[in-house]
Amino acid sequence: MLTRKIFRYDNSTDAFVTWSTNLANSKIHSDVYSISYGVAESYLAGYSIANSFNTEILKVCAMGVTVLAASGDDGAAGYRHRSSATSSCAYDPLFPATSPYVTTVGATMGVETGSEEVACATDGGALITTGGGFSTLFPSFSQQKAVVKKYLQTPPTKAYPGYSTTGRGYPDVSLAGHNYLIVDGGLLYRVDGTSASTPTVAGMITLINAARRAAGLSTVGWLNPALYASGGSFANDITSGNNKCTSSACCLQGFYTAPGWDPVTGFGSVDFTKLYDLLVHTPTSAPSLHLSSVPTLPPTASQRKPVSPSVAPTSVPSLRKTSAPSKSMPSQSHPVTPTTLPTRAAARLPTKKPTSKPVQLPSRSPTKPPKRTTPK
Amino acid sequence: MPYKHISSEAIYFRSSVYEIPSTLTEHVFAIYNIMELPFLNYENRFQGNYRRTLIEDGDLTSSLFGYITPAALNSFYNIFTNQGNSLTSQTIYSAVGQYFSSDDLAIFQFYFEIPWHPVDLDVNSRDQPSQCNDNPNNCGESNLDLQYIMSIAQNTTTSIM
Repeated sequence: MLTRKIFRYDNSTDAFVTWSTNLANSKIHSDVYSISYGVAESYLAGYSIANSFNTEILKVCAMGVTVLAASGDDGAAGYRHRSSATSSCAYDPLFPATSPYVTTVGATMGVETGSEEVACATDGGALITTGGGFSTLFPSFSQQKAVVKKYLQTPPTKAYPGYSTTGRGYPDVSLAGHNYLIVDGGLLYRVDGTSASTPTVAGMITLINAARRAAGLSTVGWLNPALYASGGSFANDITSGNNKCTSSACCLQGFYTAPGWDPVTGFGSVDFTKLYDLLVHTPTSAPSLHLSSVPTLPPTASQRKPVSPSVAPTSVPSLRKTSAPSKSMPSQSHPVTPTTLPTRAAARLPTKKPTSKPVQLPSRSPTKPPKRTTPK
Repeated sequence: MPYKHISSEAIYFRSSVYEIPSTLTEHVFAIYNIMELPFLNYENRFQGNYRRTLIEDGDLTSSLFGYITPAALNSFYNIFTNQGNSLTSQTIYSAVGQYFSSDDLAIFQFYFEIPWHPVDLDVNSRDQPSQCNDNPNNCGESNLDLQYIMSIAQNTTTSIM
């Protein structure tokens, strides 16, 4: 039987759709894809771009592929409000973090110093604030509705109005996202971001896929149904923090963490051993794609419509930003937008013969794993 | 929203949303010639999600206390193995204009005592160490992604596309 509608999609400019379409059409896939990018939903008023992405990702999920995306670094308000005055922020979710077929990863902090793991936020001394909230484009998927409903009915602190109460809540999980060490251009940097949390969780899923494949099982595929069915038993529940700031300002808009799932850290940070047990050792938990539970596509017109605040305050309360960095933070902890070349001296990395002067990092790849010496 | 073509001066109308009445749906077989026009300044709207600061000489202590490393992640999150296998695979999405450095990856793996493993498949020829050396802003996102996904899941086919 022929389909009733045919949409000819001719667009080579949308990166996500092009990527997802190529992915769905490819005969060879990776089992896990990690996306550290996003675009504000407010830029996707056409909806079709986001919907096309979802359609393609749904196809690859059905083939056993897991797609993870970063929840964003600018709180609930999103990057378009990065420099907004407090009174002019708005909720602006990030896509594809809001895609129901993507497992979205937020960021925490505290792990690096052995202190309590809390939501990663600039008002706690980080360079970013973990993104989260509710989609204005996509409804909450069936497996998620119960936890979203619970959060909205009993939030720890009532959020400023203006967010969708029916949209897909995100993130789904979290992981440390503060003070990662990376090598870039031969120099050592410390990095904050859900871009750090996401590939780390992706690596965990790859390890689980490796174990499942070795046991003769399928890959985990679309992960969200299994995560929500577990009730978050695999997670370290994060109950401190909020996402009311962006990476450089603070807003009225934002949510607070709560016991269980919340739109700041999802179920919490991933305990690998517990997730491994859930997805590898529990036969009945093997994820599967339940098409009957897939959100209806496309959503109704009302679901597509960005939500306006239902209650507008007549005066804007003042917001006191606590900007004192934690004691463990280096003094150079201000947000740095990487637009210029570094001008400061690079840190020394260990060499076989440490010297008292900064050393030049090797400029070529070793041809084989070199033997490491103890750092100075 | 109307647009006039520069040379032909033909008028085109752009709409961010279109629908057909539900009463017609039953009778519509196909809709042709629908074009998706690009967003203006789309790339500017496409955001990576990281911020960074250069580590200056003296900031690091030998214990690396206060920083996240692959070992710290393994310890805190109970990652009891980093051994993937050849039966599975993983990929990093990389935006247009982003590169990575196999040299940086090798240094990272050396420094953190991770078995050397280069990227197995570089779909769009993103491995451009000179780009990273000239301006690390060109590589930060992909370097971060690759260094950590490959430190958590080792011995696994890893791609960037």
